[in-house]
Amino acid sequence: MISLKSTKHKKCRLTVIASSVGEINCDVFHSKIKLIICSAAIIFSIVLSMSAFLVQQENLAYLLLVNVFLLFHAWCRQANLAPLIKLFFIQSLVTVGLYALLYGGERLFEAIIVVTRIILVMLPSWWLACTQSSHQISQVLGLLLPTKWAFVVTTSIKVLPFIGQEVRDIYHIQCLRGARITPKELINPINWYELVQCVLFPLLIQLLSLSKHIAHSANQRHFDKSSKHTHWPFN
Amino acid sequence: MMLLALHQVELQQGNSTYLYQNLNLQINAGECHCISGVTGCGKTTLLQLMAMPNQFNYQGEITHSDELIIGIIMQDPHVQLIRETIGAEVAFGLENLLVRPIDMLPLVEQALTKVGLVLPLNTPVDHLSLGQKYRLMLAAQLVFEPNLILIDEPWAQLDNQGITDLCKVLLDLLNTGVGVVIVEHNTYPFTQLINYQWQLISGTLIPANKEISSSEDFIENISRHSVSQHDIDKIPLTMTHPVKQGALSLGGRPCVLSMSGLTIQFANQNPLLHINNNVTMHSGDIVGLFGENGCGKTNLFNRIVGVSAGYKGQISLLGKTPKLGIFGANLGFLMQRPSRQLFEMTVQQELEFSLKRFGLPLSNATDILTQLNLMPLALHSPHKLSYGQQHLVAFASVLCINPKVLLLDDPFAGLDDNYFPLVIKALKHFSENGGAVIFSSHRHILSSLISKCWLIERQQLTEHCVLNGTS
Repeated sequence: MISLKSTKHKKCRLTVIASSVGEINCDVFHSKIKLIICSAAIIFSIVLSMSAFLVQQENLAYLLLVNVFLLFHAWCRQANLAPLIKLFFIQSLVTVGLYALLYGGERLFEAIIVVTRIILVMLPSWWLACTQSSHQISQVLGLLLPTKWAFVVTTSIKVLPFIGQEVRDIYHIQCLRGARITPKELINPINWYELVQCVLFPLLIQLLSLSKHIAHSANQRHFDKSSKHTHWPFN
Repeated sequence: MMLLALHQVELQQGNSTYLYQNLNLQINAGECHCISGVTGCGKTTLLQLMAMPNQFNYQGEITHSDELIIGIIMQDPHVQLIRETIGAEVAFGLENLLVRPIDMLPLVEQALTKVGLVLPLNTPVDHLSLGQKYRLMLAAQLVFEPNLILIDEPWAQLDNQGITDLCKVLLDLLNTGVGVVIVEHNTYPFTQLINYQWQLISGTLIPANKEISSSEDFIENISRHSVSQHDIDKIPLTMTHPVKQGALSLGGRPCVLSMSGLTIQFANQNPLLHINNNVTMHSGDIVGLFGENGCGKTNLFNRIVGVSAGYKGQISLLGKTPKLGIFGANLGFLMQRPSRQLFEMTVQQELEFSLKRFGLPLSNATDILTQLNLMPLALHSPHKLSYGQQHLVAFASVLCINPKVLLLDDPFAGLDDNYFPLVIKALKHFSENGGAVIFSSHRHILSSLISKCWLIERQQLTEHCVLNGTS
């Protein structure tokens, strides 16, 4: 039924856009080029992330340089660096703080190396998510993984900014409700539980609900009808 | 031709109570059914049950015809969107139906044109307003040409233009034999579409009286008039006039909010909103902030309460420049989709959280729950309530701290005729005791309640006094 109706519409529209068929082919060609670039970007980011664990300490600076370039590239593509920098700052503070607490000042350099490696593992994935569309990543992953897995991975990447916004909104609303979670109040570890209770817990509920709704939305749009899928070519 | 039928359907909620009992419904091609019912009676679940019966453990019989293709648009379009651009979003269904890439473009364009969303196909979904996302979701369903469309509470999400466009689309679909089921509290805008109107009462569908509008062109009717949920509120904006500086008699009431020379603008984008003149709110005022989907109402609220920077000009709330956390119990803010703030185990505890933090009497919680007729839900988990009930609990949780200023972002979404008057009464009571309220809506409502309205048109906010207001 669907294919019959679709054919009918196709005939209607193709007469109207006949003059732009060349343009469509051009767009499809560009889309294929972008797909190749996306494949290369995925491989590059995986290699870079793995290198963060594998390279020796003396070569870490080279890796850091490459990652700085990625940051610059993402910034040129209008990515918002502020949340990432904030995350890295908190990560550094917690890790270095814990090392200082457990081992004193003598192993601080080791703590800095650990933090650097963690940052270098995360940064290429962030760069990939910022510079490539989740749809293209899905297309590439679909060649290697079962379609459902590719969908799960790319949808997870796609919802990251949404999750970030949800965290901000929930945090703000709970601050306004009087929760003791302002940066000043969080210096006191007793208030950390409040952060978990009134920000992370509702976030978890939202994420569970979101995953259920996205799964329903995908299935209702025939995602589970076939193991193979075609792809929208105009990214 | 029968598309879908429910025969003697029963669905248990929890261990004891039944959400549906002996529920029967048959939907044929070209029919429009409208289902109404009180908040939390199971309307949304019924749509989900119709669309995805295998997700539920029900008794009875649900029959889908062999040709049945269902399109469903739920209350919150945010959680249904999968792709990053509008073209890819609409094409998602086509990808799954193995339509050739080269054939997708005309189908996608056609679906977007049908719902009046004529934007570049690579427009990021994130850049769309809530109403535009709702239309996008509709296009994403229409593209695979369903013969039954299920729609959950469009009135709450769409502005008048959106409702007009939706009615046009649905009318065309009905004429081509597509079946439509609308779940809606406010059936008035859809009167001419509806063939069968039902009330969901005690788990059973009961035929309801349908009021036929005398107007021949109902679509034009919707766009011309400001329709609200209450008869008393069907007062269009022609009953208002722009406020001149100092024109209102304030009776010595202190100014709680003033804004002047304000421009809200995101980096590398055109200004979203300007306020050229000085606009003010005094204690006891109830201000309606009206504007279409995406005009910047939520962004303005975020600046007033101090959760977002990114503006030029001056905002003074309770004599201070807004900053997160400095107003304490003097400020109450209800965000859109307020279910996000719920985290406690019971509704009662949810209300008591802020009272404990601000050192206020816990009895306020019981008072507000009684006032809003929510006492039966006091010991329920807020996470198991319906969308409308959660909205109400969140509203109660900001009201119970009795702030000096209350900001409500789209507070009437999902409220039925039972709860709506209670919320209005609570707001009136709050304002009579000196509290100031701003509420936003994408249509002009409650003209009989508000003392003035702030209207956003063409990126400009202007202040209007309401002639029959209570001030």
